[in-house]
Order: sequence, then structure tokens, then C-alpha cells
Amino acid sequence: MKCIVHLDIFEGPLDLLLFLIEKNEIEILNIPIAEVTEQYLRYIKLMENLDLHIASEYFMMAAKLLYIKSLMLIPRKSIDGEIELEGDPRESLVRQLLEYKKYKEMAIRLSDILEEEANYISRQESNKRSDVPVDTEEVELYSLVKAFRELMKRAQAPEPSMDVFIDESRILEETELILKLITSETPMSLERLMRYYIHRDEFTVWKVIIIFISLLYLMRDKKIIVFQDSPYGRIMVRVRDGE
Amino acid sequence: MESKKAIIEALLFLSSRPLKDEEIKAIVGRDVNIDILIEQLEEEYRSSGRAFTIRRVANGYQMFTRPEYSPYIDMLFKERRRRSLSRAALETLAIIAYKQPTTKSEIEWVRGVDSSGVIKNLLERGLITVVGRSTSIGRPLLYATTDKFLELFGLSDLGDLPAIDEIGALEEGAGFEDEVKQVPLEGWNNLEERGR
Repeated sequence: MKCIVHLDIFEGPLDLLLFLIEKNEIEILNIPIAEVTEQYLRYIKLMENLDLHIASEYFMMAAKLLYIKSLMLIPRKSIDGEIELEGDPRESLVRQLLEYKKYKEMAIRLSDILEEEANYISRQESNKRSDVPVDTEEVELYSLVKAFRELMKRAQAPEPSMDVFIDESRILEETELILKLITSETPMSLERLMRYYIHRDEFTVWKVIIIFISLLYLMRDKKIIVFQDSPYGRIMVRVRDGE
Repeated sequence: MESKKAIIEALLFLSSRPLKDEEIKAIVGRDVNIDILIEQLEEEYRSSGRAFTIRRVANGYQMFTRPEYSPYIDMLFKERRRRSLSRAALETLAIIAYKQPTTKSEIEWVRGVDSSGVIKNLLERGLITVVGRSTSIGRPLLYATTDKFLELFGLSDLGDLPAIDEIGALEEGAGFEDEVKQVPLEGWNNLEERGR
């Protein structure tokens, strides 16, 4: 069986279900549960195979679909017509899908408004943009920690917890290397600095820790300035001049 | 003697945020009908082909350059930062905008996914705010949109949001409404299709 991989990013299980419903041109009020469940599970499998992180909500929805499917198999009426099950087992799911669809469409609408709105420029906006080099802001510790976490995620994961001893001399070596890397006048972004290590296949969690400690040392010793060109912007590193 | 109209123009020209009616009135006088004066200014700009426009935003007035000039402005201000929001953020904002005040659990019921991170992000960006606590179990926080939200989307007030039914009509056409009517709640029992 041919498998076409769509790398659509789903906002969640409801989004995935809506996608399947639209793809199959299914009437939302009359979903063939068995078929949709099967496709839904296939997608989850696919996401698993692609090693994508699957949020628990996707599995909860899978369970819900299977539950509804089982309810659909139970005869609605007994032979003599006495026992009658109330309602359609799909009802609550359909309500949820319709509600989500409504807001998903509103979100698209808001996004369009935002795009049109970007062409109306106020003084406030022009102040945020700049025709001169931007005023730099000292980087917040939080942003630095966040950047660190991001990089840790990208670096090859180490074995679980162990005691770490960092040789002071390695940090000194590193600080010198970093200073050499960013000697030029122009500031260098943190990503760019890291790319240097990636290219040299030295990008391990271990290395990232050393680089960060080195950066902190250099900041402490007032050898470098770390700043952002805008709030939440890129983290830039520059040699502190005038020394 | 400076005209009231020109004073308002000066204020709007320099202000970096929408000015509330009250703020303008506190300067030009309570008895001044600022809506009419601003309408006159706007008409003058339009008829003389000026690049400005004054719009009603977040229950106030703000001066903007007309959209047709944005490409030129971008040439000067090269660090163009298009204001963008992720799909998750837009969905969450839409839910809060139309249901406010609303709780995290209501947002999560609609979206079907954990929304703590998005809510935190929107709070940090000042687009939503906590307006109190619900009286339901656990007294969850209630969220609502802020003036900054109105400013970002260029809305005069919440009534300026696109009508929510309009959307369904746009997407599905009138037929969708008919479908809903054809299958009233009792109808669920009669459905033959068993989702085979």
C-alpha cells in the first residue's frame, strides 16, 4: 500500500480529525466512525514512525474514537423494541468538532486581519522598527537560560544523570577560542557561534555546557557584551571595546 | 488662536498609541465634539490626497499612514518585523475574544489540547489578561482580551470583531444551516447510518 506523507502540522487531535473529514469529503454530521478511526490511527502510527512527539491528547482521542465505534456496534433497539439507547454516540464528538471548526476559521480570519493591519503603520510601529542601528538591550537572564535549553535540546542527548566535573582549564581554553571567534567589529549571533561548533562536529551537550560557562565567565570579566536587538530577539555576542 | 481641530491633529500626530476620547477632551475641552472634528480632519486628508488616516482603534483615535504607502515605509525601516502569531495563539485568541471572560478549561475543551503554554505566552505579550475568577469548582482564572489586542488587530472595540456566524456562512454556504435544521437533536436517534 502506498503511503503519502503529509507533513501538515496539526494543532491537536480535533485538527487532525477535521483534516481527515475534509480530505474524505465527509459530512461532519454523519461521520463513518469506523473508517475515520482507522485513518486516524494510521496517522498516529505514521507520526510515531517519524519519531514525532505525539501529545497525550492524540491517544485520548484515539480511545474516544474506539469507544464510539464500539457503541455504534451495539444495536440501538432490542428485538422487541423495548430497550432503546438514547442519542447518537457521536453527538458529543460532533459538537466538539463543529465548535473547534468555528474557532479554527475565526483564527484564520484573525490572521487575515492581522496581515491587512500590518499595512497601517502608526508612530508606535515605526518606533519599533528602525532606520538607524537599534538600541541594544542588556539580555535578560531568562532569555539566556531559554537559549541554553533550546541548544540542549538540539545537542546530542547524554546518558542519564551523572556527576559532572568541569576542568577549569577547558573553560579558559574555550573563552580564548570564543574571543578569537568574535573579534570582529560586528556582533555575532549565538546561533552563528554555535554553528561553528556544529560544523566541527563538536556539538555535544558537554560542549554546550562548557561554551555557556565560558560565555558567563566572559560576561563576568567584562570581556564581552551579550545583548538582544529587540525584545525576544536573537541573542548577540560582541567583544566589549575600549579596554 | 489655534483651532481645536488643529490641536487634536497635533496630539494624534505625535502620539505613539491610540488616544482615548477622554484624554483628548481633557485637553481641548469637554464640550467639544471630537468625533466631528476628527471626521473633518479625515475628510481633509482624503480630499487632498494626504498619506495619513485617523482610525478608531481600541476605543480611541490613532493616526496611521495609509496602507498603500507601507511598501515605501518598509524601504526606510528595513528591520520590518511583521507582527505574526502562531496558529495556536490565533486559535486561543479567537476563543477568548468571542467567549470572554473564559477559563483555561473552556479553551482546552474547544481546542482539544493543553493550552497552558499559549495562554502564558499571550499573557506575556499583553494580548490577554486575567479579569477575575470563575465561581465554578476550583475557582479557575477568567481571561479576557486587552486594549493591546484591539490595537494589534485595528479594532475599535469588541463589537468590531467579525461576526461569528458570518464565518460559517462564508465557508459552508446557506446549505450548512439547513443541514443543522434537518437533523435536530431528536433526529440523532433516527440516523440509520451506524458508522460502519
